[in-house]
Amino acid sequence: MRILYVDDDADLRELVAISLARDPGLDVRIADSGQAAMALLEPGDWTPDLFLLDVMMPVMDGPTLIGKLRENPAYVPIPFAFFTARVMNEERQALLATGAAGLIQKPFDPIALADQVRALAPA
Amino acid sequence: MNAAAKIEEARLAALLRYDVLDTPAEAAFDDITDLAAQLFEVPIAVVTLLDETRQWFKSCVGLDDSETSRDVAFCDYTIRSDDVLVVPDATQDSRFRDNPLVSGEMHIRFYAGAPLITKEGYRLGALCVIDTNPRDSFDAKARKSLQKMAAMVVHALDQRAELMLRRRTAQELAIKEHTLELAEKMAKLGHWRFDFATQRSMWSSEAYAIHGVTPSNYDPNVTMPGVLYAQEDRLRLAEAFNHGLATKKPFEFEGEVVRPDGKRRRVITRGAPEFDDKGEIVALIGVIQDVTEARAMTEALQSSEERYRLVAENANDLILVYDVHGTISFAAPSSLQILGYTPEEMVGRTTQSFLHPDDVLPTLAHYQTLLKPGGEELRPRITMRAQRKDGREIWLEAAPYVVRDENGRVLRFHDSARDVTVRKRYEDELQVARAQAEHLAGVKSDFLANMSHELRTPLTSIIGFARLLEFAPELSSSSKSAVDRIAAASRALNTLVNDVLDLAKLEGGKVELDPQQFEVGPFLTETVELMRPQTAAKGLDLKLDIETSEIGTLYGDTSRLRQVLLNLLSNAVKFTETGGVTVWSRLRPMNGPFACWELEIEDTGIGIRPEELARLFDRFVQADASVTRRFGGTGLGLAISRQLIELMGGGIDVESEAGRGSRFMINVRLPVHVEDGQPTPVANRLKILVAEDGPAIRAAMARMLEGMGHSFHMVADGAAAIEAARSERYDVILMDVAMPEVDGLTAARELHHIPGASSGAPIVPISSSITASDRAEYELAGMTGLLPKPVTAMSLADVLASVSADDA
Repeated sequence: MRILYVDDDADLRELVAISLARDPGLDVRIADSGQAAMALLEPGDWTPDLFLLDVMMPVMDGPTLIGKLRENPAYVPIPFAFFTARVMNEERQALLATGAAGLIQKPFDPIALADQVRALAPA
Repeated sequence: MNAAAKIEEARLAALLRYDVLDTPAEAAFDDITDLAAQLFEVPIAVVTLLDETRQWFKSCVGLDDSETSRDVAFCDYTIRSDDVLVVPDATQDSRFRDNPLVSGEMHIRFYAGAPLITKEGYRLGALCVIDTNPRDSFDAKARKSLQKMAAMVVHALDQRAELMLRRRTAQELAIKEHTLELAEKMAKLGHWRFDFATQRSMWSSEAYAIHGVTPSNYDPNVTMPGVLYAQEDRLRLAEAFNHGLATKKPFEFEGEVVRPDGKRRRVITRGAPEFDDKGEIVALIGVIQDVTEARAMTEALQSSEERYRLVAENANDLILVYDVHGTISFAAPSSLQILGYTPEEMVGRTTQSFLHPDDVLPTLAHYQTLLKPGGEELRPRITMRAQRKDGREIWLEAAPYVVRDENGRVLRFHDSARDVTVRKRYEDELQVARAQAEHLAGVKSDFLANMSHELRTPLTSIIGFARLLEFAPELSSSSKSAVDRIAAASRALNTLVNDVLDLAKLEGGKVELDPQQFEVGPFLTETVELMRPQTAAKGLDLKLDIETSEIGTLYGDTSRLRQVLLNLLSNAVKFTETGGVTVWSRLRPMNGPFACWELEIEDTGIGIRPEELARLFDRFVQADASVTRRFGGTGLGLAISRQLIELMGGGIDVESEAGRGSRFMINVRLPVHVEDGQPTPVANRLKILVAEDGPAIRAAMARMLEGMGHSFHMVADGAAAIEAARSERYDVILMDVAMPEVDGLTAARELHHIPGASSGAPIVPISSSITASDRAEYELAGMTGLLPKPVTAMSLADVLASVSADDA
């Protein structure tokens, strides 16, 4: 299962990388910004099965990035999910309203993260 | 009219004056007719009296009839002269030959009659003797006898008349005396007379009654009346009386009677001399009146007038009396201090001429409300700006009330107005301060939200990496212990961040409930079971006791309800070492589509000391500072729980005994849900207009109204509300009182005057100012009921139910 993960926070990128590496079946590629993510996909030789995006990022936030990505029809069917520190109900509802498959609440349990991620995009 | 007719008329009048016709038989007359019949040896003797049409028998012997027609009367001939008429044989007399009394059964032959001649010479009738056989002789002696007997009849008639006159006079006198007595009693006014010749006093019954005595126990001729008066009045009474005698002039005396039973009465007596023809004084006559009640009323009136004057002249408030046009008829001296005008300068001018021009119309609108039926019940407080004589502007708070006569006609207004300029300034400052505080609270809430988010990102790393380290096999046991402590502390920190954010949002009014349908039974079972691992680990009992009820499905924010319940449960488990925790639930149906849900969480733990109970729901309060160290927790859980329950329109309370355990009690009122997945539609689905400038409150009210199944339209200011209400028909208008530009009161007043399409729709004020004077002001603006801020689903449902019920 191929996953594209985008987060501006270096510590979290490393934490998520280690957590997901516990599952050998996952092919995780990581970008530190929206622009970097689009550059990574640019060659077109690797298409993820799931986008995992942090919500709050400078320049381009998660929902904006998913909007941009989905301008390419090839990415429209691909499920996406957000990492978020937001706990307010209406904020969570707003994120789900973008069509997200789910939300991963920060802080998360690194041990359980791979299972959580797999559940978002059933093979 | 000829002379004969005139004489006859006078004769008839004289007869009527005797008032004897058609009266019963009397001995005085019967004796005479008996005597005549015997003396003249005739079978028939009669006393006849002749009126216009008949001869009536006052007395008769030998006849059954009591009268005959005057046409056939022999006596009609008798009364034509003063002489005795004698008819020896009627059959031989041309005047009577064909008379039916002669030719008929009566068979009259002989007649002798003497006229009844009064002193004035009127011949009223006759005394006659009659025989059925003819008689040759009725000599002069017999005639003389008959005439004498006729004179006896007239004498009897005169005596009878005199007796009747005496009787009537006596009767009239009795009536007059009785009337006088009654009148004196009613007026509490007696009379008296002191006769000089006899030196005796005469008192009327009421004169005795006023003194509290009767003729049987008091005689003014034996005991001087002075003894009936108060000691200090006795001399004055005697002086007044003697002065009247000496000067022969009317006199007056007022004093106090002390009755034998001790009761005191205020009396006035007025006397005057009575003179004879020669101008000699013969008596003193006078009246005496009991004026106790009248004096008391006068004195009460005087004292209330004095009190009123005292108040009016010493008041700091502006006291005014003015008519329906505002024209002032009275102003207290305080006007000089408050407005700079003397009362003389104010009287005659209108109240509105002292007002700030912008405040004239709104103030008049208030007074219009007072003039409506029932307006006299209102005691509104109306604030307005007035201009002092020196041009300075002041704020007045008037408290007018309308005075009507018994027919409901408005007589005048009484008003006391207070200078509230200073208070108004404080209020304005307070309002600014409140707005600032609200703004700051918003800033604080935003700051905390951002802060908690910023905190959570590094926390995520700390928690995450610590967790990963827990699974690192190469760690020494001391390192492992350090990692555990990092993990525990960071999780606690995360909870604290969440709680602080939660509370900040709650206190900033930014938490909105997300109600949905849920089954009470499964919800409680799931929630309570979440605690099972903790209770099992400590060896505690965990029981759930749900009282069965027909209502099982409610409409509420389950995640928030669960949050509260878990908070209370985890506290209970945390502080209990032996025994257990019991959750008890009961649903009670309520009026309307609501149920009251009562929940109790009871433990057998360490309990809470009384001095801690009161502050238990405050922020950062735990039963003991050491508790935080021993048991952990942020100290915010109960504060959050209380805020959430109150947001739901419910309450939370606690009972506890140190060492015995605690019991937390929650009650919330939630809409009852029906099968179709929609909240029970209210019996009366309303179309509601909401005017509210706060977006958060608008959103919250939208959810609540949706939940109740009403349709609604939201506007953000008064002008839009007026436009909407006039163009479309709404059942109820909910109007925020404080809105920028056109406020709620102004909008309500305008809608009251020109309602448009929503005519008759109640306008309910939404406000955090809910004192009685605020309410009176809303009522004056034509508003009904009150929806207090913060708005809860319960208060909203209540106010809608009451105003739509009023409407129906």
